[in-house]
Amino acid sequence: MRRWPQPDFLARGPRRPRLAWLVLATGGLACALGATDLLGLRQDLEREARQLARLRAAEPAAPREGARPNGSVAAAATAQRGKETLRVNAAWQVQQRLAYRWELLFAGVESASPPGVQWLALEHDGERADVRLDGRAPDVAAALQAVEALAACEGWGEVALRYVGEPVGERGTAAPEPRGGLRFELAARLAADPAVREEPLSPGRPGEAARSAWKSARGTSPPSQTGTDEPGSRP
Amino acid sequence: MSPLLREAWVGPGSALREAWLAVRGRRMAQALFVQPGAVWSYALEAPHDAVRHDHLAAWCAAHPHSQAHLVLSGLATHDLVVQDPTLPLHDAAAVAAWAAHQFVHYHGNAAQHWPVAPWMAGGRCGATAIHGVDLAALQLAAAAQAVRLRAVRSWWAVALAAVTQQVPALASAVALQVLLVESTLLTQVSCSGGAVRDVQQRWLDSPTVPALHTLLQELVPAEGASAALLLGYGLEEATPAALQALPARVLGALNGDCPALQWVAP
Repeated sequence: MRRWPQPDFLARGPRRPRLAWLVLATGGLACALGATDLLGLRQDLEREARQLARLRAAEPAAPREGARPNGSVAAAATAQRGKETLRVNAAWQVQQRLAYRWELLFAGVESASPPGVQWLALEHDGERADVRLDGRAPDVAAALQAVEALAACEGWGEVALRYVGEPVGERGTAAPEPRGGLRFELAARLAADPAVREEPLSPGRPGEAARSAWKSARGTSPPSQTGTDEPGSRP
Repeated sequence: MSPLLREAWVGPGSALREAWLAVRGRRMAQALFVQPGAVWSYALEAPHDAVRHDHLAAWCAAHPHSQAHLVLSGLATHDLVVQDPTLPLHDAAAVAAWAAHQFVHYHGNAAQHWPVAPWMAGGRCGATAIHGVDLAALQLAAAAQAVRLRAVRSWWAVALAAVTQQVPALASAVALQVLLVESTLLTQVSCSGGAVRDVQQRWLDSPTVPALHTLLQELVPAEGASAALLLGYGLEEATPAALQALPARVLGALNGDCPALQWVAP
């Protein structure tokens, strides 16, 4: 079909596609930002890969925990470092517990105990030198007497009675309590006295030297005990 | 489609159908033939019964939010076709500027404010100017009723496209003349090789067939009568017997007050 003249008095001139140029510029900007982001992510990935390679080279004997996804390499390394710190701290706490002369402390407790008082449990926090003692007394007066006697012993300080009451089988003890006594609980703090410690450590923030020593020696015999242990003996 | 829906859709007096037809009617651009002092509208149901309006505003008031394309009578336009191929007219803007200068040269200072529509087709170029109607007033009247004007064109261009569309064999004729008669005005569109070579306006002594015959004898050579197509309106006593003697092929009747719809809306 031939194109005949169609003069139109409403025909506009060629439109200047400003909107098209604006859209093009916006799209180009978005692409540039995306490319920059992609380059940054690639650099991060390479850096993480190098770090992972260094970690693997530094710990050739560390057991592999199966194939991990690539994205969690950094998280896995952090978790590994956290486990190491927990192990060192636990070992340090055990070392702190062993630093006391427990036979001397127990002898003082035994000699100061009033008649009729039975000691049921002892919990020791090596980090803060706190001790919690559970016992049974025939009456309240005997419990208070035990507190005073313990406070007078060498190496014991800040002795305070925390609880006196009926033995109701608390603390998860499944065994039935014998009748005819009061359960009491007292808290104390072991003094940083050289007489009761085998090696002096700085109070307040102790243990940096010990931590470093354990770190260096962890490969030989890392202790496995953690948290509280209950001697549960009668001193 | 359920019978209920079908009834609601195609049933007589269906509101849905009426609404659809109303929307479709507004979406379809209607052709309006614009003369100095009159506007003719056509109904699809009765293409031979055009309706006269004194102004475009009257039609727009009856058809708000519709679309229209205006066809300007030759009585309201002037044309120029560039005959010198060496003129440095490389785009439509250059053609319009050249044509505006030529219109002022031939028609005086009044032509300074005429709207000019350039065209470039088939290796030729030219321009049409409006002198008989106020284009700005037409646009204002349409805008007042939210009527969208899709195009404003001169009738010879619309009729040329319509003729060659309805008679495709003529489109590639070596020489073709389309003669548009509007009462005492005859617009002669000369084509060759599928391109418009010239557009000229001639005046009849009277709006009669003998006056047209006399003029055509001057314009159309005897051997080119088969390639001369005549159509239009406004002649008195344009009986078929009288039209047969004209040295051109007559398309349709030449009486009436406006062209037939088929030559206005290709």
